[in-house]
Amino acid sequence: MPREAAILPFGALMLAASVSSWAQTPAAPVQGGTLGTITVTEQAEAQSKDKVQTKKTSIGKGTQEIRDIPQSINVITEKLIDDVKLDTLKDALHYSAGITFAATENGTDQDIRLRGFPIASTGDLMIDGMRDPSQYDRDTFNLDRIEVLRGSASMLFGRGSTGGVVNQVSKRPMLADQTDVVGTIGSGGYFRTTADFNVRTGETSALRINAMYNKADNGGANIDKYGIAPSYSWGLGTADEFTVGLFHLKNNNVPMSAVRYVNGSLAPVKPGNFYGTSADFVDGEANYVHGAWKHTFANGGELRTQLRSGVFERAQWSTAVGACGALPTAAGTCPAGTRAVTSLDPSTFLTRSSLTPRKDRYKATYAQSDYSLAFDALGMKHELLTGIDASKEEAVRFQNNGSTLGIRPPTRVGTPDDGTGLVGTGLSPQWRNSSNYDAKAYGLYVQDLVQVASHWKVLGGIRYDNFKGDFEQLNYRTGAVSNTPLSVTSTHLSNSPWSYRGGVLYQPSDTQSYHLSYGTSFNTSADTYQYVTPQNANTPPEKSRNLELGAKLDWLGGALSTRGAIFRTEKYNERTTDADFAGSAYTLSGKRHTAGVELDVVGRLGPQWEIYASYTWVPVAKIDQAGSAAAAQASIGQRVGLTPKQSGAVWVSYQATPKLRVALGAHGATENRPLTGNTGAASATARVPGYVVADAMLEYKFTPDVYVQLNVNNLSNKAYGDQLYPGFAILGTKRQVLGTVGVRF
Amino acid sequence: MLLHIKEVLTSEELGEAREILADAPWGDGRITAGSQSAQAKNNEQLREDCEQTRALQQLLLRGLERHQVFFSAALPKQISPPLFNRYGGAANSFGNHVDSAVRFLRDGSGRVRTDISCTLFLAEPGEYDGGELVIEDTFGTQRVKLAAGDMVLYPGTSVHRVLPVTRGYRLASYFWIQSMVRSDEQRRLLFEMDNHLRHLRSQYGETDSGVIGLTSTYHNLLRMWLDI
Repeated sequence: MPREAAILPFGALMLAASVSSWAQTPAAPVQGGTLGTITVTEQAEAQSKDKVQTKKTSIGKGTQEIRDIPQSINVITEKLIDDVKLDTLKDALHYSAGITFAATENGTDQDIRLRGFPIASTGDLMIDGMRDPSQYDRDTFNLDRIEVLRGSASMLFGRGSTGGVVNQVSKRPMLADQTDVVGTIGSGGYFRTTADFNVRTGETSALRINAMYNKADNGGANIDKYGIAPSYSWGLGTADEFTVGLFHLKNNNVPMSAVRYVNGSLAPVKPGNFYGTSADFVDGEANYVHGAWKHTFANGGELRTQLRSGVFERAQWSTAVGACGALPTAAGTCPAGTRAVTSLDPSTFLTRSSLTPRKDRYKATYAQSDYSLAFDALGMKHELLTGIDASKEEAVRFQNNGSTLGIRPPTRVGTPDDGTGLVGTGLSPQWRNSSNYDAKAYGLYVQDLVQVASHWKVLGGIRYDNFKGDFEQLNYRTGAVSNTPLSVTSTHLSNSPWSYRGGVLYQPSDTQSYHLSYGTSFNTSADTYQYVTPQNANTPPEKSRNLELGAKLDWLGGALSTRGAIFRTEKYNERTTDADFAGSAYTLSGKRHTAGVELDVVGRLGPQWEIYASYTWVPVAKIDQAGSAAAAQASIGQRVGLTPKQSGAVWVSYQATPKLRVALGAHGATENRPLTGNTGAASATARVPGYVVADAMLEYKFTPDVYVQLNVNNLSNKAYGDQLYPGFAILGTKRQVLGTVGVRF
Repeated sequence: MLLHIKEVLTSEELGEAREILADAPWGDGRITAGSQSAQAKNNEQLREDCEQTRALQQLLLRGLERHQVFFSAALPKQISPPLFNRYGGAANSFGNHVDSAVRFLRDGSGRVRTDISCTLFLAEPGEYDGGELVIEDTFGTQRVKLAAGDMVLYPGTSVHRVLPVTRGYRLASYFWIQSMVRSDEQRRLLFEMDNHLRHLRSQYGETDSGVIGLTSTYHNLLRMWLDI
């Protein structure tokens, strides 16, 4: 049941939507208004530009109070995105504790880990509660906020979600006339401009257009991208609200080069040094259409229906560099027998090797309908949530067709960004189709939150999924240049798993909520990179469970929220190769678990102080059981890779004068290790040291609507291993100075 | 009905408003007064057509727009553009007066019947001595001095005055509302009913038959008394 404070008076409901014209034309009569709309739904969204704190979330399907969700939740609002200049989803997730990034074999994938489990970029990233299926460099220009829900949640989302899910909440039209234009220039030839137009087109309708253009040379690791996302809503504030929209994002970037470990640790090269070539690229394009309809029934029930259909394309080819103690060969490799390099100086040779070129195209259509209703039955208050969702996903992958690829000539540590191109023939990959994926899935779920006694609520939910996938591997003659496959291996996968979620909430007052919860999740063989081989097509889904005890407390009259949880997440029948490493495993004999503590502090400490803090301690991340291979057996008892014991982020801003605001932030982690081979255990031979990166901001508001902002990110120009792969790491961004001018009218 | 509405402005907005007011072009308050009240009026006022006034008006209207209690209590149909005044030094008081029944808007775009008078305090009570708003009405004589950011609503029909400020400066915004429900008594009943209903809705849910019945009574009363 909603608390009294969350219920709007009828007088306010009737009118709140219809007054924005006052400021411009004070005499215009207040018009229209609807009677009887009862639930308060969109309040949280309006705050995202103005606050780092939010009390509502839409991650649980429908809008809910964070205090009613018995799981750890961390929300990055647009305010934090704007303050710290978090341009990409990856940048933003640096401000959520417990998240790490794998480099993967191509060096640039957004492969994310949470609580030691993958948040697969093809599985557990969401846009407005529906899967965001591809790998591409996601930008935040159209995001209102980013919600990180930790722990298993298949009951809500279907396959995936062992460590959690990340939901990107899009900006939606509002009943107001407001335009925000922001321009930023900075070091590294950085230029970015975003525009956010919202125009009220009628009594209940509005148009919103977000656009972004971004360029930077970054010492060779170029950024060149733009995006536009128009959406139109009508019926706002009435019983039937509709939204339709488009999204287009295009990237033509050069990715930062990867650097092989030296002495088993991060190579001592300067942050920002690019050793790739002019042939390196990561090109991506995301295009989708979406539509949403929300119907509010007279009894307060709400039916939300959403549809999204899109095409996502990506192609990339990049460089990994390694130190060499002698002049590299004509083929660009280190001569055999050269002694390992243990220290670098500007004259040290670097070999440049090509990472496997990759290209893919996804087509995906998602539809879902969720119904929520609060009612009384059997003398108890119920909040029912139920829904159905369906998806159709297709992926086509490409590889180089076997033709010769050019040689990347060596370079030296002291000459980054030397402008070198490839030598020889094959200056870009020739693509041939390597695999195809086609899957259909649907799910049904029902959940009830029952107030069993005053202060006590019990949550129970169950979901059924049906998943059918067809997969083709195209086989070519080894060593031949060919676009015609010798054979095609077809595989079919079909699963129908159940997922559960249960919890008890104790809410003795409006400012306290304590929870104990249990949830399950599953991963089909066709999850992360969506590979299905004849072997693992016969393997049932992996299963995971999550146990959590937590508290969500509000302080200072609700201005400050604290959230804390102790968790244990366990994947208890794991395929014995890690999902990130395409292999041929077909048993479910693996098991691993992580346990730890997560803490969040968000809100205001006083009229002038605002804080956002997120911290995770994972003392336990262990491989309990593994397959029979020697390497797998050796991993038992080892710590899971890509899971530093401690990580966190903090951002504190201080309104020094009514016009001047200063802020200081930091994010970091303790020692981190990449994965070993395909066991998922922490590497015994490679590590990157712990780090803290400090960021600072100064903002001056000439008027409430005109401001300038100065950001310095990575103040001390710290070199840190940001994305880790068994053989190499990609360093985090070097110090960056950004100057911004923003206008709202 | 005299109603204290809390926290119309946040502390940041208040800071912003104070900053704008600090170097604002103050003028003699008598320019907006009717001939009778001009006799009693001795304060300073911000010019209506300056940039500072417009910025402050926007700030304040934004505060009002999001204030649920304000909506429920005032049921506004039209709001006159907020004005700003300062009491202190030699210009420090405003004797007994009744506000004009109609405000003609400067740009000629319309008229507002002054059903409800509003005063929003922009200075903290500790910053000045005196300066209480004294309102005489059917509910007796009330002395009002509120925290900065808070607002008082009172019937436009009442006689009121501002006591002399003997130390510091009293900063405030004042404006009028034409309500959709003209009668103060009816408006008060609706406001009270809305508040009680809010409590019932939280206790029994939106679907309780009693809640639905009373909700419909609320809307039917509104329909009977509305003037739109």
